[in-house]
Amino acid sequence: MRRIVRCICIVLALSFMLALPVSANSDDNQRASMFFSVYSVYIAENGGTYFQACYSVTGKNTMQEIGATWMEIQESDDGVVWTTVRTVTTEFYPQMICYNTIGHSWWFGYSATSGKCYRLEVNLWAKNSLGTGERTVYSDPVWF
Amino acid sequence: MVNDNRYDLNKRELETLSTADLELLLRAELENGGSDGRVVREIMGILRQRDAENPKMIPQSVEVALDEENRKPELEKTRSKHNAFRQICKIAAVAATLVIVVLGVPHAFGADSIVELVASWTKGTFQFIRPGETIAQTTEYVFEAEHAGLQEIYDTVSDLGVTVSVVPMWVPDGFTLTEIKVTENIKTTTVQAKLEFENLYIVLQIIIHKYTCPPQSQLVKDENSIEKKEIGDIVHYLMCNSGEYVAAWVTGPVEGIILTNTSKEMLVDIIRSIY
Repeated sequence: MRRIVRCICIVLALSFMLALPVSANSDDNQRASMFFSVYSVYIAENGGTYFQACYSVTGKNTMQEIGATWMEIQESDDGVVWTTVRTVTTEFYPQMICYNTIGHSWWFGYSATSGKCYRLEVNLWAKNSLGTGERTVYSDPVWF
Repeated sequence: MVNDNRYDLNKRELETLSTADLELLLRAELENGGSDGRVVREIMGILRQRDAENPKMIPQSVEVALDEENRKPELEKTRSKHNAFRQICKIAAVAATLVIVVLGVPHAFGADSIVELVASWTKGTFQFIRPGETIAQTTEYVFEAEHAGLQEIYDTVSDLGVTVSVVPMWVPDGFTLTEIKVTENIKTTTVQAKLEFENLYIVLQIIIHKYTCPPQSQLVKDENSIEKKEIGDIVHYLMCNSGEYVAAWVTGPVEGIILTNTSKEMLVDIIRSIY
């Protein structure tokens, strides 16, 4: 009896741990927006270990500011545990945000380590007369 | 009172000692930092008295020692200054080491740093980059806004080698091209163009895939269902996003998206004009 209760507790705990981030992520990315119309975050590569960490974002009508405030390149050995190996921000790359425009596409070149998996975490950003909007979006992981 | 009695007793005892013994005792007392100052003064008083009675009794070394005793507070001040200076030096050395370690290995922490950055510039842009790192360059096309229209978009897309039909040949009267820009990476080329008339807009986004790969774009939509419309043998997906009408489709290596706040009917008419 005790074993069964223990098992149920473990399953419930794991369910909560896994469900919370998934629901927060999907909720954030599936609702209509007053700021964003289209976006994409992806790793562009052509066979070698060099890749471009890309994002493209199109706003609803002309935005005072649009782009991304930061982008993290994350590395993993197993595709499960991720470590940030590079953070790119507007502080050093002001080109990440464009002004008074409908949309913005930008990328950052990076050299991968062979045998490792990479993904991007990007904080998309837009500002218009209504206020500001942001979304944190992950790319699909890519093995090198 | 107890101290005074002991003092008197010590004085008497001191007077019984020979000058040489007193000198030795005085040196010992002076070398001992925590000694009682009264004992030193007493010894010196006895030695001075004996010197007056018999000059040259007090050796020069004892005078120097006495001077040092008198200058003790001053020396202590100097010592504490030296100690403070040493501490500052230590802190500065630790801080310098930390700065070197943190700035010297920025990659390990994924942090941005001005170390290793180099300045890079073109005719119209300036930026700081790390050696070997590259970032996107966006080309913004210059055109005469008053007369610009769909032809500019068509020419831009054709120049990029696109042969499939993707640019509309019709938009409602009054719309003029206000913006067009192209961004390229190793996988795709993205063209974003905007036509405007008063508060209305039509945005055309064309993503040209250089290799066979699935579309990357995520379209933001509200909870209403997606409508499929087959026009020109291509399925177009129509949806809404908070008052904006959106169409998305794929033809060959090209991903097409139209966004407009005009109407759904107008959006369909614009799509029809592509084929």
